Amino acid sequence: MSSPTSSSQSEPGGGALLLEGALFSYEKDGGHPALNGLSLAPGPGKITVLTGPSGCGKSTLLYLLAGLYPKYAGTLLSGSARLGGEDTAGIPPERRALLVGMMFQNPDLQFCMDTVENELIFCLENTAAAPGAMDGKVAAALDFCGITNLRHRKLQTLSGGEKQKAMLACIVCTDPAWLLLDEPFANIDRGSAGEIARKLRQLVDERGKSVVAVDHKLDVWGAVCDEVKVLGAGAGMPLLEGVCPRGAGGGAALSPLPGLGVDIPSRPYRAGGALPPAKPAPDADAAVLLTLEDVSVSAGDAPVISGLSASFEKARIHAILGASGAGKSTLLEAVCGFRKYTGSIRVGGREVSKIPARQIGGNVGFVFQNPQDQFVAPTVLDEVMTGLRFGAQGGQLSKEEKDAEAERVLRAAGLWRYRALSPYMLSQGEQRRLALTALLAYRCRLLVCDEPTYAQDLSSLTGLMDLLLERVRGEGMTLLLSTHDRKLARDYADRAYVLEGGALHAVDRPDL
Amino acid sequence: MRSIDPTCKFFGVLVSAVVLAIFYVPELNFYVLAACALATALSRVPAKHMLLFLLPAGLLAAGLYFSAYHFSSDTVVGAHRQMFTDARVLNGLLLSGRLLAFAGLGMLFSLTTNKVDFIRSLNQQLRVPSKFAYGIIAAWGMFPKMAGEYAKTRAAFRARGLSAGFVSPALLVPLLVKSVRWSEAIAIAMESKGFGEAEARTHYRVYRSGARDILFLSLPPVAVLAAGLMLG
Repeated sequence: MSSPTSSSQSEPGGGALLLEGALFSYEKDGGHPALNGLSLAPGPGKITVLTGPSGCGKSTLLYLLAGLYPKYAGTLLSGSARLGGEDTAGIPPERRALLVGMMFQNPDLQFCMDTVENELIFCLENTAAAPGAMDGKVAAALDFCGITNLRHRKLQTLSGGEKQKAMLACIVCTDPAWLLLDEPFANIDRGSAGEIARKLRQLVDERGKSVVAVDHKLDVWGAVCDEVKVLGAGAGMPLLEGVCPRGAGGGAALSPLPGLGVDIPSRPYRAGGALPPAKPAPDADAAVLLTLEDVSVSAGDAPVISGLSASFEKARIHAILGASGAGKSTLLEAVCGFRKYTGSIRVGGREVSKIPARQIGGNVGFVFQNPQDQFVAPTVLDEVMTGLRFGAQGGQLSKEEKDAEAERVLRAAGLWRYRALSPYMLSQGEQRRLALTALLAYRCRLLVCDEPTYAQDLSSLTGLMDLLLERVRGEGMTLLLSTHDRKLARDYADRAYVLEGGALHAVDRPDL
Repeated sequence: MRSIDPTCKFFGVLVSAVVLAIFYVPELNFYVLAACALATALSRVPAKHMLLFLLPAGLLAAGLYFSAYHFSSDTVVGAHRQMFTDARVLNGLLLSGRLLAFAGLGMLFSLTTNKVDFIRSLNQQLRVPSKFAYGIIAAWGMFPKMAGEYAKTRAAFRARGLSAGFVSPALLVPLLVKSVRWSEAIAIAMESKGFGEAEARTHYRVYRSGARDILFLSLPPVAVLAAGLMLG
């Protein structure tokens, strides 16, 4: 660990990191470029946040800056990514890691070793650090990140937030001048995200590091970043550079951004404000769709939920908030019959565990947190057709009607042109839209969504939620969702709850 | 046992197993098993872990004993020994005993060795390429994840009205796609942490074979050989 004084404040180390006229495509023939002649020079000694709609090429540009592309994907047709005058990809990894460090979106897929300590040692060995100095560097990096207590823990037992802190510690111990972050907070709770953001600020202020982060959520960054750059869809051109003064004035400086499809933390998702009114239920008995009575669920040996009772009204949006690890996913999975539970979970009066597999689709649908967990068909079109075939109206539609319906919903989701592709070939945001579209095709009575809007940009978030709202208001579908996004619960849910200590507590939405 | 260099321990155990395989002496198998159990216990491995490790081997050994008992002729395989009057018993004991002895050797190695230490030692002492060695460690971390993913995929199929058996090719497709993606993501992360082709890496802990390690490498095979010759 270099001491704070070793890096000069006026001239941050490592040389300038630049992207010059990058024309980059993932396709062999160079078609559909992801970056179309993009140039970018993030400020040294600053925290720069790059944002923009899904698919605008912001992650691509980060991987180019890190020297990982085009080695791992795509072709750089013209232009270059340069670090201190050198071609970034041409710098050998052991030397590059001393100049550029990277934190990734998925906390699970960035470690090679078994324990936190071994992972840090792995980084130091890679970069040929002196063995005698390693213990000290590891201790200092863990101390800086506030995770000294995790030193000997197995990486797979850490929570998402802890994993991201461990990843930050890896970067801190190799001590590069540039830190590149690819949606580092997408999978972790807000508390951990805030802590990491403050550590990044400290690295910039005290050690002269430079940070470039890609994110479409600006809420965590508002208080710490120096600069926001917005990339336009398709063309991959920066449209606006909004300087974001830290602290109180942050919101005002971001005010030109909404027109560019960027979510401003202080603005509601729904322009109209209040939700359209829900139809009152004809009588109290018919009003409830889902009832939980004394439900207990365990994960492995540990009880996650014990003795939970609740009822959920029909044709409403119910949002469940709660810290990471509170058991939100576990509860939702139990409601869909994926997990063994004790007690009773009834949907429309039927015990979930007793609904035959063939009828599940028409009754309860589940949208996984990770859309890749739920694809069952070889193509995008088949994925939706499966829903039409096994859904509530499966027997009633003719082949032609099914084809027409599949085309209609895929066009509405903007996925029709990908119909012959494998679902796995779509981008993250597109996969999420497909997952939801396929599930909606079942026309199930209860749709359960585990964090449906995570890693979505503003327009896909509102598009997706408006679609769900339409189903709920128009067709009486009941939606039960979990989220970390309090604003989402405030603006879209009829009822909001916090899951804490294994129990559900109703909360007033305006307080969120 | 824990302090012996993993590479030496590995080859000590492996060569012992090969030597054991050339003898047809039922008692020898059980002596080896006892010696392994003793050495493992002396390395402060909890008895519970040892029993859990040996349980599957024990069940298999019992099965093997009875099948050898029922399906072998009255001709004894290998050396004839007076203490076993029934050739069927001898055949059963030979096969099941050998399995248990191998399990004992495996237990001695795996319960007293940190796998990361083993791989690092192979990397340094036998010049196993870093790319291969650290690739194995990274893959190790993925295995527990895979079982969970498989269960999740099955649930997803069922929830969508598709029936899928316990082992269905349709379920393997998502798993395959995911593991390719995972290994790519991990490879990218490893490179971003400075892991490259160059073998210029330094070593936090240097693994060298001392006299004790060489002793463990050579003594057990010789002991098994001597015991085999004496008893055989």
